[in-house]
Amino acid sequence: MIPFEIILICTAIGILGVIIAMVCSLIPGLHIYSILGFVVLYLLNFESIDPLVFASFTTSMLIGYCLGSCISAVYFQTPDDSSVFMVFPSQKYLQDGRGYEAVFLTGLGAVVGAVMACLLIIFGSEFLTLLVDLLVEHSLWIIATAMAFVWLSEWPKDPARQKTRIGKLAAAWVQLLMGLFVIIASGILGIYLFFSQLIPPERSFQGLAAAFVGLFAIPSIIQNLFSAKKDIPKQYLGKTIEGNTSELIQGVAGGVIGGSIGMLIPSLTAGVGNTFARHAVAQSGDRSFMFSQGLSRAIYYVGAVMLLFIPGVIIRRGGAALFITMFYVPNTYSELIIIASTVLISTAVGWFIFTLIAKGITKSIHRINTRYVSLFGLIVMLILTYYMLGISGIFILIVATAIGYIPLVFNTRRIHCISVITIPIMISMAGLTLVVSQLFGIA
Amino acid sequence: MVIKKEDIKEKTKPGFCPNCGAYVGAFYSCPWCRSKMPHGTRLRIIQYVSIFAVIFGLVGLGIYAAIDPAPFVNIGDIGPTYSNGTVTIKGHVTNIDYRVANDESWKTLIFTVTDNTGSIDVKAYTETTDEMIEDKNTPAIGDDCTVRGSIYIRGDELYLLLDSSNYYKYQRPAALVTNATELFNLYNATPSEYLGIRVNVTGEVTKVGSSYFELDNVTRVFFPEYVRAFAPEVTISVYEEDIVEVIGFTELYYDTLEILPGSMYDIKILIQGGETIE
Repeated sequence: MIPFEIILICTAIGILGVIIAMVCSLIPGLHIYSILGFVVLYLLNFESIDPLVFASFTTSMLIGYCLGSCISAVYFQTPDDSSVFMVFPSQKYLQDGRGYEAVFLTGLGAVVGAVMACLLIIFGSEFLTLLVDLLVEHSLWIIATAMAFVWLSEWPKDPARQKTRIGKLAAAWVQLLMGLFVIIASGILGIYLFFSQLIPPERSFQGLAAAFVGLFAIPSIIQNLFSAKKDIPKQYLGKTIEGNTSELIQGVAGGVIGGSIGMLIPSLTAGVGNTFARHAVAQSGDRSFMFSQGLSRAIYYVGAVMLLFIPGVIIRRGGAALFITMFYVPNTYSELIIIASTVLISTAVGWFIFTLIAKGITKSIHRINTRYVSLFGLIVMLILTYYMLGISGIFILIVATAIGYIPLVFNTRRIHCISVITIPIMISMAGLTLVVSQLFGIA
Repeated sequence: MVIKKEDIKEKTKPGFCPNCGAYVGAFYSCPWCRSKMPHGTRLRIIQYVSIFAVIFGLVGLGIYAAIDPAPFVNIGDIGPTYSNGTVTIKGHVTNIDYRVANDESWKTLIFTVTDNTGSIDVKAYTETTDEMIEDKNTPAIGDDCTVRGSIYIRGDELYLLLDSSNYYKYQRPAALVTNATELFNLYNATPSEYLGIRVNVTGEVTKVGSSYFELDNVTRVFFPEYVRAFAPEVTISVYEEDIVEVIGFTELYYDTLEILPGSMYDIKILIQGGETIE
């Protein structure tokens, strides 16, 4: 029996978590897992803290991140691994003065996603448990197929009006081959990160933080800093959002499929899941796309951590679940219900704060020099990385940034960078860890 | 059509075609009027620099990783923040547990390694366990060992996951050569000196059970499931009055002195049914 005071504390801490996360998420490039890392370090000093309270805080921070990062991803162009796709259509909206619409649609998707994640886990837990069991045995080929699909489905984007046929062919292939280069380079980085110890061992729980920030966030920040001064037009603060039923259905279907792939299959994030989902539901149009991106991210982040709360089984997916299992493993149905209610309350509070922040930034974004915001984000990321992981963390960050910059300058897909986790996990699943470690001199 | 740079700055914003004004973004040429976009040398330089930075960065990271891919840590220092870390521990094996499914579809070997600062369980799942058995690289209680693996934490459960047989290296202490009766006498004289040591004992089998036999009526030899599993090709049938040689680790079974071999390779029948076994 969980005491009533704990339930109240969970709710209160959930509201606090969503507010903190939303404010932190406005800093360009700052991933919620980096913040949670510091929370973990701090809380480990307090043995008396109820782990359920920490779990509530973690889950609500994910919701705050799903909502808050919509704003920074659209207005400051700093996506993480699960929102890289979202940036491009939203930039078009931003240029047209419709940034608020893009933020609103993505945020609305996140709210729907958080609610759906709760419903999925509460009412579909038995089915999900069976599905996870089934998928575990097939994870290797599923991940391999997903990565192959992501690469093979990329179409040469540059029309490359070269004069000669060879020139046209070469121009098309440069982009595709650079995609392959990014996959291989990210994979090698992942091999070093997974199979050797580059950072201080006592900070291993944040082992991927520097790489993720470098691969996804810092390149965008650098781009913002060094590209020509951005003249963001004045944004229109609409009272209504355009949309129709088919867009809504496509958005929900695409988001649920994409988010579920990210939630259920190890190492595949919502970004990769969405690549499939878009094809699966024949998604077209920017509005359904942005809505589904927000939805899938919420299912990916919130759903993955809620899988851990299914009683009787231990399904650990995603970084937040890893943080929670550092404290305890939930095993009762009442814990699941408390977490679900925390999610719903945090989502409601989060949505209210989200709209306030989004409106505020929308009104003032044309007066903000985003270069300063990006510079602030860069400084914060460097300080946090150095504090958490030391000089080796900065070294990893630099190499990851170089890899993450390739897609920007060669116009290839940024989601290729996710190979930093998919390739080492595939190697591990194939039982080739030792062979690969020997090959790379780290055995 | 090639547009000169000076014309472009005056007419269009970056990303827009200087000729027709269409939005072109990062493409090299305008899809509408085929004009070359003025990315110029700077983008080309950034592209080359990025590629070189990736290559040199990864080489540097590789060199750094190879220096100490799995640093040594004291077992007592390992805590929740070590989760997913790749580390090496040194200590001695103090306990072994072996779990196998009825249909042998999975097996798990768990052995405890202890150093001066604490203890940790080391887990090896089916593939690694099979590899260890095949390599005859299985742990035995009392072994001094070095283990490299990844730290896993699930609530109160904290263990080191062993990924390959190659990452388990052991040294077995030299065995005290004696016979069962003499060992028993030595133990009775100074119990603390003769418990927890490796011995090589010869004696006559006086009693046989399902997973043990007694030597000279004074010392028990215990061979649990894992001892048999670690030597799958060895089948030994021990009968009373056989003379056997056993290498193992001494411990106490209630009040009886017990020898625990590392595997069935450590049990050798010297004389069976009056005949010397080669």
